[in-house]
Amino acid sequence: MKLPVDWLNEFFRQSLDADNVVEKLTLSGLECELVTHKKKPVIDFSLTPNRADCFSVKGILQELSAISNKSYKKPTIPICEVHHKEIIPTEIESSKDCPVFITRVIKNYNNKIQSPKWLKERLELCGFKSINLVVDIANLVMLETGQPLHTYDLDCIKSKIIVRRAQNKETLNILDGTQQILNKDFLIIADEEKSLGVAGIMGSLESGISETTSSILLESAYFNYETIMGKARMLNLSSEASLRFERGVDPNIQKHAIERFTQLLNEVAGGENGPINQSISNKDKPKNKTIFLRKEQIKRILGIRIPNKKIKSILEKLKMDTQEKDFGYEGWKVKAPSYRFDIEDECDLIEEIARIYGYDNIPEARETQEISLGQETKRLDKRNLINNLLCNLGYSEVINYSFVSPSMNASSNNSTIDVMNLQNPLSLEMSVMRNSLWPGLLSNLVYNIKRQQKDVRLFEIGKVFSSVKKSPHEITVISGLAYGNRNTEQWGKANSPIDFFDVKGDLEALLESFNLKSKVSFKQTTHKILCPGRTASINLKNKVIGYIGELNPEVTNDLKLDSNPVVFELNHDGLKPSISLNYSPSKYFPYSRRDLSLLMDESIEINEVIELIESIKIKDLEEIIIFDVFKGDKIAIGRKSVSIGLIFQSKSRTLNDDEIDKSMLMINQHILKKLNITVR
Amino acid sequence: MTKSLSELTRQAKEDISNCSSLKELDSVRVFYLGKKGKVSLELKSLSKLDPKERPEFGKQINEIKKTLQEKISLKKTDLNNQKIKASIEEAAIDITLPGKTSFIGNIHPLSTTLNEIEKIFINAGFLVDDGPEIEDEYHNFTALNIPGNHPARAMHDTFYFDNEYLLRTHTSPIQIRSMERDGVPIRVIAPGKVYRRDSDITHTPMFHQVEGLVIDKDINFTHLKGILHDFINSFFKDEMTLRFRPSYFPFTEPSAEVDLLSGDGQWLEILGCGMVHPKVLDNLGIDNKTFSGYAFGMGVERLTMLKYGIKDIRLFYENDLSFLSQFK
Repeated sequence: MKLPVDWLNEFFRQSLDADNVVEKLTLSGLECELVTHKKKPVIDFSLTPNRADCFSVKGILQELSAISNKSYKKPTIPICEVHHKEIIPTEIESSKDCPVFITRVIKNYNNKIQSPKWLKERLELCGFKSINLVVDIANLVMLETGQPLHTYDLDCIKSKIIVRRAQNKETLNILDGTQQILNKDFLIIADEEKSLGVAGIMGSLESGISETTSSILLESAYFNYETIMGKARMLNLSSEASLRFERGVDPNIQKHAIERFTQLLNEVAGGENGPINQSISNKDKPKNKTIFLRKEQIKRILGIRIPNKKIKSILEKLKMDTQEKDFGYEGWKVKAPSYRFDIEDECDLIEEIARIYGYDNIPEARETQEISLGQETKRLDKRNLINNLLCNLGYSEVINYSFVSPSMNASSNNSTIDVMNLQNPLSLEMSVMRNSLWPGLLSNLVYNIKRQQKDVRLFEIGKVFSSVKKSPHEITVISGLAYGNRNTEQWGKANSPIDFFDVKGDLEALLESFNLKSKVSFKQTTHKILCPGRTASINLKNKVIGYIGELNPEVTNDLKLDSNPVVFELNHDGLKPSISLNYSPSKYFPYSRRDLSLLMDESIEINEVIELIESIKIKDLEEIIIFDVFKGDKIAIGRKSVSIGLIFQSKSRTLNDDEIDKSMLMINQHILKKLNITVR
Repeated sequence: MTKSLSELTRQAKEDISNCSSLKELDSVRVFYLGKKGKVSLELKSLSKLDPKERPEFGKQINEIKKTLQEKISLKKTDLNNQKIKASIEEAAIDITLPGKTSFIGNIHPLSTTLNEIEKIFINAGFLVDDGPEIEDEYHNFTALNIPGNHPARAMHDTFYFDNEYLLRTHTSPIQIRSMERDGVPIRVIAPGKVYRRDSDITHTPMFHQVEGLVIDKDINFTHLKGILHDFINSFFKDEMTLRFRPSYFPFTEPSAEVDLLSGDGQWLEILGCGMVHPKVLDNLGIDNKTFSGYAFGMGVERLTMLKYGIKDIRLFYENDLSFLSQFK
């Protein structure tokens, strides 16, 4: 809401200091700023939904006088002359929805007269477009009093006005030109034949004021805010009227507003006024509850003792009906004015007291409660462990949106799992919840290459989403991507492109820092977006916890990349930092090393050989090192050479050559027999 | 000493000092002192001598041997030193050439801020909690005193799924889940991603918040002011000026926005907070006569932007390496 400072000034003897007013209002909870429009100072308010009472000049004046002790000239309620007796009978289906409904017929005003300059200017400063005289006056009165008014072309109304709930699927063409389909949740204004508008939100197109209108029905109502709440949003529209009605309009100002409108219209364009026709159901008007305010509770919530006199004066400034009595405790019986819909409970009154007392006047204090220190560092420790390790390995952390385009999300390896689709995405590109972090990393890669980055290593920790039996399922994963060369370009260090094993090594370092390297196995597998033959699943206790592989060359090609990036994704929840480590004392005894060069079929996985050797359970075989793998040259086609080093070491004595020879013999026999391997 | 012996000694000394390499020196040693060397041969001629002269001659030979060995040893040290010296001269490098490097990555500035916030609150005895990003209406709105048609829902432009689920619009539902699970007293922060249907220079459809919640006996507004001021000072590593002003959140009463006084005299909104609304406690079956508490929520992007002088929030999600690499 925008209000020109000049308008407020009309009510004060001395002009206001606009900057001071803005600051005071801001500190009392009405967020606003001073702007200039057409060289005039205007206060632009961002009102919170609880302060319905401030949606008008009247409301702001009330607030200003409460916070600054300034008294203002109360506008007098005009009583206009009545020229004829015509009314439109009103039928209210449920007075609960509509406790106050007041109308007046005004006939034969001069419809050739345009809105006067002052009116147009004032509305413009308030951010309103001038439409026609009748609508402009209605808007002005709304801004002045907070009461939205509605005007109908009198000729459009057939015999009577009915305020009723809409029928299911009842349609209505409204003023903004759209057709709305309503249901029983909506309150509408209708006549005997047709609906004339959605109550409190917008009128129908045909009943609106046109150039030829010269007689109108003027409506000033109080609708139950609970009936109006959320309805404008359901219709995907918002009007100045609905904004006010759904927050609550003062149920005692309808008559004032209608008289004010009449006065202004008569002044500018004449017209013959009918009598005021009112349907008021006092029992359905909102009642401000009587609230018991305990002095002790103020102290308990705010932490300070405010003198009784001060509390009472604050409540009085806010026009609260306050009684100080002995209720068995020290305190007050308070009733808020009719326009304060937000004051429902004691806590609301405490906020009012704090607000006017000034938050800045409440001191800061330290808690005296028992606090146990630093008990929750696991989460932080884990993140630091991962972050430090991956950064040192050259990976930079990225954060991507959790929603991606449906085509990018195709990277799931499990087609039986459903994705979570957004009902109201910002765009198609952001319409599906990601089920992998790879699409994000790949688009980051493409983005950075376009900005002339050559070597890119990225990682992200984040959630991936799926729908399992129609319920959302989310897990945290950690993903990485490496592209380009192994090293930065430099002298004295040979460079080569990153390959699968560079990234596997990084991943193993990560697993090792969680004590998982020896517990995890890599298995050749396939994955939708990865290169067959260069893809592995990462397995822990027969459960797949992640994937690593080179991007499928087809995808690489689609992304216009020069080489295949290597990517990995790993379940993050399974990584748990070791809580305690046990030191085991060890004595030193020298180790012996024996090397073997093995010739074997290319199809044999090294892991098979290692596992076979390990399965014989050779005593004191401490470690197996693979130090060379090659094909071609003097090796027969379909075969490869693998050189391994075997480290023997005992924890209790020095081993002698004879026993190692025996062990080597066992290994030779085993491997030779089972896997068709020859020793070179 | 016979003439031939002294000539031999002189010649040997001369040969030793003429040596220019360890290899040469070794052959000189063999030539004189080896098994078949000149000095050794002289020793063998001992048998041909008169037995009376033998001790004297033998002594002389041994002395010569000793002298030459010393001489050789000295020469050896000398040659070794020369060799090391020469190798040092040879090995001089251009120490201005750059060192050999590997890639080093960077942590995303939002992560750094999140870590920093967590660290500060852990030190103040807070637990860290987490919750789902896909939430239900109850936890995101209803339990927080934002019923179905409430205008406050318009403050949260919400992403919905086809069923009853939505993307959480704030981290506040985590406080509900924490209380449901752990009851009170409670002292927890909940960092995480949140989502609103909004996108411009100051809004991204996804952003990060940290929610805080303390419920205990005798918690009041002065404590809320205290902890937030301590936090802000600690986060910006300076004594900062704050302003608390009344605001509105359906789940706190009284509610406040906290503004930070910037270097250029502007008040910048940095977080929202308040005393937990009694209705929220009621919803969770917590006795609001015994317990009271405060809650706060802060935008991680906003704090990061203020800390580093970043003007466009969208930079956080472009993941441009030239941006990320500035945050060492």
